[in-house]
Amino acid sequence: MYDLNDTIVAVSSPTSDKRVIVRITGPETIETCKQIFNSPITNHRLHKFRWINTDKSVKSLIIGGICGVDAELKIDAQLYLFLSPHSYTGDDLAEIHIHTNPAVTEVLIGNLLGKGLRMAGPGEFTARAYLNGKIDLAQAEAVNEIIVSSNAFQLAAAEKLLSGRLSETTAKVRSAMMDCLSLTEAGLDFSAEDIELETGAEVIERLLGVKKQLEQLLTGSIRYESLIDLPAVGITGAPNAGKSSLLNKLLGKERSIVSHKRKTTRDVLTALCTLTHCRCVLFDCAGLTPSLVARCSSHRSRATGDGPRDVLDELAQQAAIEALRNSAVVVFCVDISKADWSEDISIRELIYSSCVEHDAYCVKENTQYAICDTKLIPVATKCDLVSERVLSNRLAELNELFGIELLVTSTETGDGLELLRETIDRKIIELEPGFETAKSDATPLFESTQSSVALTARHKQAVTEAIENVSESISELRAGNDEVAAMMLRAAYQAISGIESAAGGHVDEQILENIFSRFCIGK
Amino acid sequence: MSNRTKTNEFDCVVIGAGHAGVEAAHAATRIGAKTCLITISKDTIAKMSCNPAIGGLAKGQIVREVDALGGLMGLAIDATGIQFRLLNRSKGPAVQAPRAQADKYKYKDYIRTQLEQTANLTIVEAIVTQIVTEKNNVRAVRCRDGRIYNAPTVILTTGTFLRGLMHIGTQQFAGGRLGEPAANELSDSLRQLGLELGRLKTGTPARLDAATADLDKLDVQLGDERPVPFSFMTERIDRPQVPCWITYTNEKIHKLIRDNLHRAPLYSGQITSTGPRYCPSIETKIVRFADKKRHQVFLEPEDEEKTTIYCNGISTSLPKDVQEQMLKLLGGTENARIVHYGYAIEYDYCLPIQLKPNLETRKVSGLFLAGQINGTSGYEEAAGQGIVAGINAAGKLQGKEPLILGRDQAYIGVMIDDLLTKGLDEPYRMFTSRAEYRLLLRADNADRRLTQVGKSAGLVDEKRWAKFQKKIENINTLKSYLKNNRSGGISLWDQLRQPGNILAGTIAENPDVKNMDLAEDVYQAVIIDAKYEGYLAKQERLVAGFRALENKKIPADLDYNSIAHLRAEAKEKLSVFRPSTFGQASRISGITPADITVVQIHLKKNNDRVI
Repeated sequence: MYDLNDTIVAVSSPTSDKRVIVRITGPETIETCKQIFNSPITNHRLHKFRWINTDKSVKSLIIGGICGVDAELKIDAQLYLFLSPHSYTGDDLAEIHIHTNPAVTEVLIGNLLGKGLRMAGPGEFTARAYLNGKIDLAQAEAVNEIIVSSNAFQLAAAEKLLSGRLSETTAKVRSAMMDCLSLTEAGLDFSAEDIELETGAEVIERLLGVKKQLEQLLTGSIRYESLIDLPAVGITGAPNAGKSSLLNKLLGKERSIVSHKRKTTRDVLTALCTLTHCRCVLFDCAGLTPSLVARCSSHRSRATGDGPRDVLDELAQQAAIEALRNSAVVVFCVDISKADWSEDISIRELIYSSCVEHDAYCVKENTQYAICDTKLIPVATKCDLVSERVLSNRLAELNELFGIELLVTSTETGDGLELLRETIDRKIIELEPGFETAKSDATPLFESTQSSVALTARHKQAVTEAIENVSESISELRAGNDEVAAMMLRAAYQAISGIESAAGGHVDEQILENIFSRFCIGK
Repeated sequence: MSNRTKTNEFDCVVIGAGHAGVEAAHAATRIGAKTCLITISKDTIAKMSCNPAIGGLAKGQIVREVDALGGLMGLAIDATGIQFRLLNRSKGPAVQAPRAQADKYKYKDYIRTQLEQTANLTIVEAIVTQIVTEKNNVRAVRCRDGRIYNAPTVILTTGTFLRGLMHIGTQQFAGGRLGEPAANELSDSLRQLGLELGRLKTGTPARLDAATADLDKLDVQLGDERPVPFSFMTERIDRPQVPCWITYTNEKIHKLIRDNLHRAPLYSGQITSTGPRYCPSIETKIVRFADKKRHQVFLEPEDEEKTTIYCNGISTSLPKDVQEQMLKLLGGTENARIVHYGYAIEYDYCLPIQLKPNLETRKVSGLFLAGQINGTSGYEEAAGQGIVAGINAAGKLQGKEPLILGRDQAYIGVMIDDLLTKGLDEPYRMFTSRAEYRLLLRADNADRRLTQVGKSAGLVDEKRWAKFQKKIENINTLKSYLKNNRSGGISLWDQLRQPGNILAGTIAENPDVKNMDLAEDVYQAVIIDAKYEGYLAKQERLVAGFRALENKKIPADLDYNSIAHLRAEAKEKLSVFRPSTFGQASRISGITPADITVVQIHLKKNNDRVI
């Protein structure tokens, strides 16, 4: 059962919306927000709001500001505070709205868990709402949601783990921990028996091995923090220019939903890509709408009197621009199967202007263009859709229009993809030489991306907790406090068991089973 | 309690006078219930059917708990023990436990005398054949000779007697113990009440005539120089102690057993029920651990005069001739005369998931079960349940809240909760590893955990209470002195908390402390508290969360099938186990937090019956 006194956090599904919403509810909500937001959340402000809030016409207190994703990374965000009891759950509830990529979201969640919050269980927000008397009808639906989301949660978790090597690794570690735990417990419960147990030193030796494996799991897997630091490759272009297909081909597996309908990719999707000399993060930037882009980029302060606008659309576009601005290399896709390139021209302007703001010292126009061109890789997509004659005509036209030669590709035939990969690799090395990895580390693109493991904030928390407990158990064993060491080891074991969704049964029965199968116990 | 004057009218009837039955009868009577203890023979009251020893790891803690609650076992072993040892002396205090060899004859005499001196307790010799009920309430018990004893509460502690079937080689015979009749009709009576029974197996080794054994050539195991008593009421034990002898099986014995496996009931298919993994027969040891060259055997005297010997380590149901040959090949017993042969016994038990946490059956109000009938093994496990059943049967008549010990409160609590939430597939024995709050459940602090509980139940007498109060006072005095006095800028308490600090050994020599005139157990309590203080603080949040769930009750009559959105597996499991709190529900394997929430919401909808 969920502990109602915990402060819990959940990420709203970003698929149907462009925002990522991180929801927090529980007694520590306000305190947590105070810690991560730069805008003052004063008691006076809260009190005033609480007063206004009594008539329920104003639902939430909206605070714009900078959200500390972790100690270093700060991003723009909006905070919606719903104070108890006028919130969905009936407890204090906060929504942090951000426009960012999943990597940053994961880091933010990790930061929140580090502050003592707990990931919400399936349907837990709804359960809380019900238990606090906030939802008094449609009980069946509420319950149903729990079950459905519970299944979805388990499915998602299972899928994630099965596809990676995480569960494989944790199963090994878990079994090693169970052995150490059993040996320690056998020393406590069966010390009067005529059995030869491994000495404390040997158990410690094995535990050091366990600790090392766990640490490798932390350092060796793809962490979202490391994705933030890797050179970014933005893939951009007009809506439906084939960016997602290209990304998928570069990664060798389906990473984002591709459809022929325009604007299907509405978020900045992130994926890790290993090239011959370096690794990079691919960003599939949202389909940009030039008119919107122009408005957003031309003046940050919004013009008044524009009438109702989709603020979120704007913010999504800004997120895309931000991603492009931070990209080391920009792959600019132009659909060569169509004849009208007005949109593409606008987008190219946008890429240039993003360079201007980024590299503020570039004052002269020519210099700007030169710098932008060095990080730009223009790509002609869907080349299989036109005849060779049309292709060569259009290429010539585009080369003249953009003043730069386009790389010819087709995700259908695979033409030009290898060259594109090499070009990205080369450009990153040229522009950001620090990212070159040793040759021996470089593995072929497809295999390595498929076998990489990404630790989510929840997993990371579990592994970190296990490492702490294993370390403590080692020092307790060294001090001869076996009974305390066993307690720590049990905690470590349970932390790791939590990663694998399948319930492992009662720990003490597993310990006893392990002992009885190995040792002849019983006088 | 009603005024019962007729000779067959009682408040409580206890069936069986083993280690569960005697504690149950004693507790119920002391609390104020007019009680009748029915045993097949008064001569077998508190008989040690197997190993002549009390305590051991985890078990010793249970004896301390029984004692703190006001039970008999600790006092009895202190009065009749012939060799005392504190186990795990080199390990932390949380896992140290007392163990003692008993003079098994004096032990049962001691208990019998205690019971006979207990006012309002009647001891009757009879074989009970039927539990008489009326509308699912206990009314009476009927005996084979036609006698009827009426009572609104009945505590069943049948040990291995329910349809007991013994095996020695291919020989099979009915009986509850060697030479004692089985209780066959009672099994049928329980089935008729709708209780589901299962079958378990246990075994015991041969007993020898000590005078015919050549013990002098064997290694000895001695008791502690300064015996640590079990009971908090025992100041010290001065009786001279006797040794045990250690010998080993050998390849010849192993071959003999392997050659005769076809005659071993455990391997010939004659015995089908499950025995305990932690207490295997010698034939099982040799089959399962074939590469082990020898197995240790303790030859333990069964009494102070050393008339008989218990062969600890070679429990067996092999044929008599094989047992004889085996002992001829075992060092020290070459010429020993067998007093009684080892045997295996199969018996009925009642699936413990049919119990409420107060040890009352859900089916029949007023019917309590304790000891081996609940699938446990061991005298201590039996005594722990017996005292709880006795307190609850008497308390029920007085309209008291049931005594339910928490997993964070007592090993007895861990045991009963395990029985109710796990079910079992072998006789259940306590191990310290079963207790997740092991650092809290120590032998040294059993009085601080449970004396108050025993007092509230009405079982702790004035003498024990006064002694306990005095100890608590002294502990507090010493602690506050240590916390308020410093040396080298660090409080003495903080110094005591540091691992390996010499203060732990020298505390009594401090002149101020000397003046306090404290008993040894006060020093020990303070030193141990200091050692574990930091770790216990870490566990506090876990314990708090655990308690919150334990306090949320689930109505006993909840129809899980009526909860629309509960998963089928959860419906099935919860209907079988019928947890009485959300805490218990969460410990049933296969039940997820989402399931619990669904139940919680369902109950909330229905008239706010919980939460």
